Amino acid sequence: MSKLFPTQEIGSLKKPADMLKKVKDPNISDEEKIKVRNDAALLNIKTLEDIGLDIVYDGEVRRVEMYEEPVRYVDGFEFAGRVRSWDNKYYKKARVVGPVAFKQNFHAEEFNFIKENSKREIKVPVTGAYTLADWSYDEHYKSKDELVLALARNVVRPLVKDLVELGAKIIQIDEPAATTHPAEMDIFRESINESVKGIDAKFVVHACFSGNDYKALAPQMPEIKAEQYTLEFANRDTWNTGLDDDARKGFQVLKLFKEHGFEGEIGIGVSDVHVNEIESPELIRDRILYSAKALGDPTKVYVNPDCGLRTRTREVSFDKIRSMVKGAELAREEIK
Amino acid sequence: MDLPVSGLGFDITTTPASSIEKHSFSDKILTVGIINSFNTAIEKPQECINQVDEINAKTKPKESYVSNNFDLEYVPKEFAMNKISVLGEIARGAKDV
Repeated sequence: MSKLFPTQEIGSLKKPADMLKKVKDPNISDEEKIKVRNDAALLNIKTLEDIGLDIVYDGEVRRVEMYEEPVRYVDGFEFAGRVRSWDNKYYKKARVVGPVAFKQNFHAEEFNFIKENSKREIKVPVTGAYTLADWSYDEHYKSKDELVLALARNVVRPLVKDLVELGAKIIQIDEPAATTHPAEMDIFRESINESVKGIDAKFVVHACFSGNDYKALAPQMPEIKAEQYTLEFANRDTWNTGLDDDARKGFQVLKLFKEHGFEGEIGIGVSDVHVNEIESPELIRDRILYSAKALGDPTKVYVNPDCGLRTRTREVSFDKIRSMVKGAELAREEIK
Repeated sequence: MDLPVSGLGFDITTTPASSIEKHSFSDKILTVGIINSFNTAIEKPQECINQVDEINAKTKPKESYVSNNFDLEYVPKEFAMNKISVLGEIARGAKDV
């Protein structure tokens, strides 16, 4: 993108309450439910565009959540029941009971709708093979590595290929589990490379922070076939404006990426998705400018929240994105 | 083995049994964590009984227990109950030490 500091979301937004009520209502027809989902998607797309986001999606409004949604549509999985993921949050976890295989493009309807209704660039979030494997019980494959690669080759790759054939140009592979196992970075690298093999598109990898400060990820970054990484920084940074290392302590790890020879783009997380306080545009401006200097090239900096925003209210989410867009504008003014 | 404790427990689903079997547990209680709390695959009782008997024969503990390797909250309740049932079968089937 020729514009400096393009702004984007990671993917999820909280679903509108009235939409959730209607899609669960047995008295509402399937046809009406389709319209309800379309309206919710349109609302998110138009709101994000009106705020000024450069790269959009629909807030993942049709998806149950990032694990359950793909697993519903993949051969080889059976849901086992609900288990705790973190705090008092539970998710529906599945068992792998047979060979995993792609059945259908479960994001096709969603993507086609966004393509018809958006004027901006579109980035499609897709749950990655490593996370699908890590978050599942495996009763079929001999090892986790085998399951990860089977998912990469037989599920994620055909899904991504189909999305690209439908017109997708940017695909974000969501891998929150990757950095929770620093010793498994080799298989994580292989899973991404197998997932994107032979497909011509721009690939983005989204990985959470998970306590290792991306130290295990950094050496792998030049070997992974992804042009961009969207990463978390804001939740470890100070809320002080400033361009010094003390103020921007959450962004120190950017230097590590450069040291390990990564020359691609970084989608810097400038908004903390775990708090309701809204970062000021000036704070975001300084986070962007610091990152541009740390990476040595402002054209490598993309701007996004740390992660998906579905744990925040819609009001807080859109306020955070609004401030992020304004912060990017201020940063561009400084660079001119 | 010099720790001032009455017994030790091991996660046999990840720890190689050979690393435990080379030690004598003659004055200690040994708990063999043979049920995997992180996976829904239900263990085969006889295979587990054979493994527990082999470990006990080599380590000769003062007392021997069998258990799951971690809290069972990481599998759905139905699977947890099945695993506890299998644990009972293993305990009843394993030879006394």
